[in-house]
Amino acid sequence: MKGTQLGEFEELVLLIVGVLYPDAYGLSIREEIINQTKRKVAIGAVHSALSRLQEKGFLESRLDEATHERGGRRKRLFTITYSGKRALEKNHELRNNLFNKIPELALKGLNLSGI
Amino acid sequence: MADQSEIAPPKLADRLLGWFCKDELLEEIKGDLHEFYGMERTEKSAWKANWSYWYHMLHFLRPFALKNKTQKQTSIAMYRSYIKTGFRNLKRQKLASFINVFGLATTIAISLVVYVLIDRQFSLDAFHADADQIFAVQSRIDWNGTEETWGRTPLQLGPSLKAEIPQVEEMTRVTRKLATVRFEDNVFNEVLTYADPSYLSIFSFPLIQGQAESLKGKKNIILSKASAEKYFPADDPIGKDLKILIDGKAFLFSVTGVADGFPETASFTFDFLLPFENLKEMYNIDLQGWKNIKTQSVFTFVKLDQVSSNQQVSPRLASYRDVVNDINPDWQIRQFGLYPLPSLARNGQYVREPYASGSTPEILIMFAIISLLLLASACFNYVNISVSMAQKRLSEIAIRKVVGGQRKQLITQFLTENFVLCFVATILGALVGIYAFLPGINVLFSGSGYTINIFQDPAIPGFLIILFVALSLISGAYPAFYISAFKPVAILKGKQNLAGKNRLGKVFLTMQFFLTFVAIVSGLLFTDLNEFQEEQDWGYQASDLLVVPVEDPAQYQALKLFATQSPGIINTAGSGSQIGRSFVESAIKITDEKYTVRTFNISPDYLDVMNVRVIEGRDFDENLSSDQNKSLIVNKAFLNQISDSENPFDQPVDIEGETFNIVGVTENFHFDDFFSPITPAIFRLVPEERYNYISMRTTPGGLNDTEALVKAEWTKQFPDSPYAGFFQEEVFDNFFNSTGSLKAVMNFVAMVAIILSAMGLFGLVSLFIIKKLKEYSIRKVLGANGTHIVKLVSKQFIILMSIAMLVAAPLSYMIFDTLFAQVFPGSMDTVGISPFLLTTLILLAVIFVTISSHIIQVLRMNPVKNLRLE
Repeated sequence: MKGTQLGEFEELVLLIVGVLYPDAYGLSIREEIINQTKRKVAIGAVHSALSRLQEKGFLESRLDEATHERGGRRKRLFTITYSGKRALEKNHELRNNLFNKIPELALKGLNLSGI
Repeated sequence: MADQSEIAPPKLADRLLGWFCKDELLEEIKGDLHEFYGMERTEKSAWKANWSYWYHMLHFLRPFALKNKTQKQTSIAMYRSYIKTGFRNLKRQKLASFINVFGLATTIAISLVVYVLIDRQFSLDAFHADADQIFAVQSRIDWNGTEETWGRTPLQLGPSLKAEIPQVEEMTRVTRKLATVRFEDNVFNEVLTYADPSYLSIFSFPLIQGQAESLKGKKNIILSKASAEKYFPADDPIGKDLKILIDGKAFLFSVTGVADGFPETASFTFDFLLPFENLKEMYNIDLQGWKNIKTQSVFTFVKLDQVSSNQQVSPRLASYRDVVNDINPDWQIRQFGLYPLPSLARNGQYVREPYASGSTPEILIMFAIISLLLLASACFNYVNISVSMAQKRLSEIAIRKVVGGQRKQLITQFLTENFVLCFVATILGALVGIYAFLPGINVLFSGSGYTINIFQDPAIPGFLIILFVALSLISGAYPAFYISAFKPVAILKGKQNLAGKNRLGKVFLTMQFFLTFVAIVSGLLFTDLNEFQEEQDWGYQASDLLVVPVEDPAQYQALKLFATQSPGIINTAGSGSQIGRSFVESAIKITDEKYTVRTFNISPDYLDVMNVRVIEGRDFDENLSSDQNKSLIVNKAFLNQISDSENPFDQPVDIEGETFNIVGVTENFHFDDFFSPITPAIFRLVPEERYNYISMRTTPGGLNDTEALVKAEWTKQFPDSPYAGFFQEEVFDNFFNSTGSLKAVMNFVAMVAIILSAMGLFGLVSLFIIKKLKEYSIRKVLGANGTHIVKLVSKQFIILMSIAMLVAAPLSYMIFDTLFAQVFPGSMDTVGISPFLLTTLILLAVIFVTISSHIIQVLRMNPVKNLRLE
């Protein structure tokens, strides 16, 4: 089903929401992505991914207290839902399985050619 | 709190975000962006943080954050439907659409051409790099109490300015002189430009071959692309030696550069560019002189370090003026002035001996007024026709209103339809203008070479877009507001008719016919004048006269000898300058009053050969020694304007220190063109060395045969010199061509005006008839005959047209009488009233045809049909 697949960037955002618990909101997630992956990410891209994840039911959110540095605006804090956690686990499992199925020789060859 | 306002992110970006972003997301997104901005400001400069704020803000232009634009989408669909109905209406009402599109497109094309002509005047010489820092130094002279600007300055002024005024970065002196240029068999008379080496660094004339610095080498010469192709069609010109012949002396110059083709917007260029210092040995000119600007002078250009330096440099020119005035007590200069390069050519005609000049503004202003009037005329037609056509669409309007269309929407609909029509007209107009009218102008005014590259000059599409929007709004506003105000109930009940008496329309129409009248009269007048000028007495006999420019007495004598042996040549005479071709001006004094007069240096039999008629006194006498340097013959204008006409022969005339007596007076003769009034001119005798022309009177009709013989003789005897003979009757050809072109343009304008006003009349009459259709039908049913109906339909239009013509005839007579009195005195007397009568007839015919087509329609209609439909 189209709606429940996890994109690469979506998975990243979902993971980081988990990592940052309970302080995951748009800006802090972007910071963390940049720190972890050294990728250049626009704030809008993060928000876009968050909104998609929420639509798919992997995330839920609530509005926090207003703070001074945000010009008196509240921030939206995200937490992973049960189905979000399931999706992450499924992805993780799938990868691990696949990784383990790679023959030793292929990995060696990979290593050799890599050097 | 001040702290917070300091780090406020760009307001515009915020507002933009609020405009497109979903309201429910706005708070968190804005909050994140603001917090982010605060962090950025602590590490980065303000503009970098602002920039990154904008960057991130724009990254929210993603589907998830955008407001639901359902409303916007329907309105786009609306516009699409408006445009579709617009095109359908264009197709359905073929005649009306044709009239509108044709009228608008023609006038748009005309306006485009006029715009290009005017724009050219304002972009002349602007292509030079730093054009606004380049100034020409010109002299303002006290000339019998009035101030005149002269293009030239003393020779030493430029170098002194460069040496003594720090703001003057560069300076070049320029002058142009005629010489013969020869390379092997290619011999031509050419205009050579002498300039200081910085000429090529001040002006942006890039070279395609060679180095600009080579102009510093004294015997180097740089050619234009055209000259290079003329002299070296097959070879590489670089390194070749050109021979330059001046008064029989030869100078060798080595070609070291070739300039690229010059831009069309250059008001001045060069064919041959030579180092200035050569003037000293070639013409014996003192390059360090402060002599008055009359005898030894030059054009001076300076490039300042910045535009505003003009303010500091101008006052300092006064001290140089004092130096010049001390040396030349007779020639007082009021002031030297700096004249900016971009406007130099445009103002050239107010300057005596300008270096650069553009075309006359009067003609351009006239064209601009004409094109505006034509545009107004086309707009008026559109208004008229679209209101009349709206009658057919009344039920559409009513239905639209009934199903909930608001007035605003109807206005938008009509304006959109109008945009469609104007868009079609603009595209057509641009095509016609670029591919038909502009080439036409180029053919008419030969050598003007106007081209449009719509992709290179952003001003042209800009002009078209502005014209398009302005026309759409001006022509569309009235119908849109007028039609959309109708009450649907009234329409559906059949009560709504196109209300009012349409006074505005009638006023417009009267004005339109008035203007058309003026346009037709001007076309006819120019035609008449052109014919009249061709029949004009030139003041001498120009036919059967062959004139050959000569370079030295040897050539003159050889031709004279040849002429005596040729049966085809009756007699010959020599002259320093030739009537109609060239002249010199000399400053004279009569009873201490100074004047400048045209001077013709001639041989004793010149007047006889040219057939210039002596009306008082006597012709020069070869045998009188006093005639050689003491006698003058003047023209009638001299007598009328300068001399004391009671006894002109007793009044001594002082020419540069020598005293002369007037011995004869000639009939006035034309030496410039027929537009310029004849100014005072004098003839004086000079020795043979100073003849530049030999004029040969041939037997009637033998001109071509004689020329062939003379040319053959010339090439045999003088292979070093170009043969440049011409027929005297051709000297005004340029002028005839240009008045002929003006005639063609005016006739074309008159034709467009006739068509436009006929269309306007057509539209108004059909509007009128549609309104009265029921009335006519009832009248017909009750037994009205044809004449009665004709009277009814045409009466008020005939009255209107009569008013227009009664006002237009005397008024246009007055306009052209005063206009032509300036440029061509006495012409209106010769033309008479026939153009005005003819114009009246033409207009009456147009009105008759236009109205009668409608009348026939009314007469033929079946009244029952009209009445039954209601």
